[in-house]
Amino acid sequence: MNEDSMNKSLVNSMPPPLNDDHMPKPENIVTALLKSPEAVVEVIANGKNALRNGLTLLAAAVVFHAIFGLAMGLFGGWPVALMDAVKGPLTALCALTLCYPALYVFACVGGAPLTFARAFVLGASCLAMQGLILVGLAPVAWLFSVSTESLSFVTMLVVCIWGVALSFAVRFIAKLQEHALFSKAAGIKTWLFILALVTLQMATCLRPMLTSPKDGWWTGGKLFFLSHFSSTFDEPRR
Amino acid sequence: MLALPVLVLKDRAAFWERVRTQELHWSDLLGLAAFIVISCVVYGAVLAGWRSPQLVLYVAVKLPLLFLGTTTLVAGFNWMTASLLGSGLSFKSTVFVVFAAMTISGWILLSLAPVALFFLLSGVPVVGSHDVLRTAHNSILVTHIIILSLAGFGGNMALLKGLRRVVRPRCPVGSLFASWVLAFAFVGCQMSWILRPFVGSPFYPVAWIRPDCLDRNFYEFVFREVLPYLLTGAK
Repeated sequence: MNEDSMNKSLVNSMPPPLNDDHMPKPENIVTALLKSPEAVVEVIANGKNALRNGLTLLAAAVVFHAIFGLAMGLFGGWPVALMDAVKGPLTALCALTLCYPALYVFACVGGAPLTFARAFVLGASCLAMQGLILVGLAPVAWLFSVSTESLSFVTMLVVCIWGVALSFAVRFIAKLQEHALFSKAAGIKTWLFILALVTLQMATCLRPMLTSPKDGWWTGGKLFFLSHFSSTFDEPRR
Repeated sequence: MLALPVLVLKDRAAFWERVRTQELHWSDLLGLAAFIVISCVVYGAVLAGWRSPQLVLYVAVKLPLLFLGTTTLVAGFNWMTASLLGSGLSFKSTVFVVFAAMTISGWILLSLAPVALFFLLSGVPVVGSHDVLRTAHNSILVTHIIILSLAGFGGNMALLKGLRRVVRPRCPVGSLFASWVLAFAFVGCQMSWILRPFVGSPFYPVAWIRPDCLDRNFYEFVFREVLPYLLTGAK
């Protein structure tokens, strides 16, 4: 089925696309995400260089999450920080991968018919947007991580910072609605809620994040994220 | 065979137009029915995945049976209410509209099957103390309730929007939609009561259906046990 022909009526009602010269190039797309998200929206809608743009955004997201992981992991010392520099991006990437089918379907059900390429770039840009905010708040996470021994406090702080980053991803999706193709973004917003839940469960699956594991890098054992996060508040100080 | 389910997902306006202009044939229904069966088989397998492979097999059969069985049982009523309310829909059109809504639910279930499976594999222990198992059962139940609610909501919204496009201008769409949803929920609750277990309590043996499934109905259970329990504050 030709997806472009199916979106013809929507495309006809769109404002004229940005000239190619004004579209951010793949190497500048992360800067564009920070300074003019609407240009990234145009890139997603345009669909040109989808693979390169998506991969660039994913690479940036990995680096940003690694930096934030390093900063928060310093709560448990350098070995934990290095472990979190791997676990942070791994959590985000695995959660996104699991949720890609849902992004495609939820966007279509919500009335914003995506192609696979658009879904790929959109998911990557949401993750990169979260990463940008996380890296911006990494110094704050570092400061509190090295100046307290309370695991529950640092857990709360990290969850709050992640919540702030998520709210910026929601804001980015709201920006999408300015484009005619994504004017109905309710499905994408619902997807972001699912991504958040999956990320919390993924972090639980890859625990411990803030303390040294007894053996290897994983604790193992099955645990629901609500039980895990509530048990954090029962633990004694480090 | 997948062309019609994909059309329902990506370009519902075109699909509703084909329903309205009676372009679809009974043979086209097979594609939608097959997709609904596949999505229910996949999600059904995940639904019971934490309990035992035997229950996986049972629920993979029972979930499509629940959805398609309920639809079949209310199909006549749907057509009658549609006619009485002046929708101008033929019997075939009412079936296509309902199947399209279920196809949307099927897409949502399919897309969230990896998520449900991940929660199942990473968050739900299958062995442990009574309390651990009870928490695990409740956690997985909540996960599935959220996912099934999302699927139901998506399907119902598609149904409402679809009805608005295919019925005659003076037909009260809200009343028609409410009567269809109420009928489906009323029959669906009883069907699921008969066909239980789906998730599988760790405190009951795995079974195709419970031995007491026909002893009383879902509503007797609600009015004789659940409501008194809630009203008396579990005394």
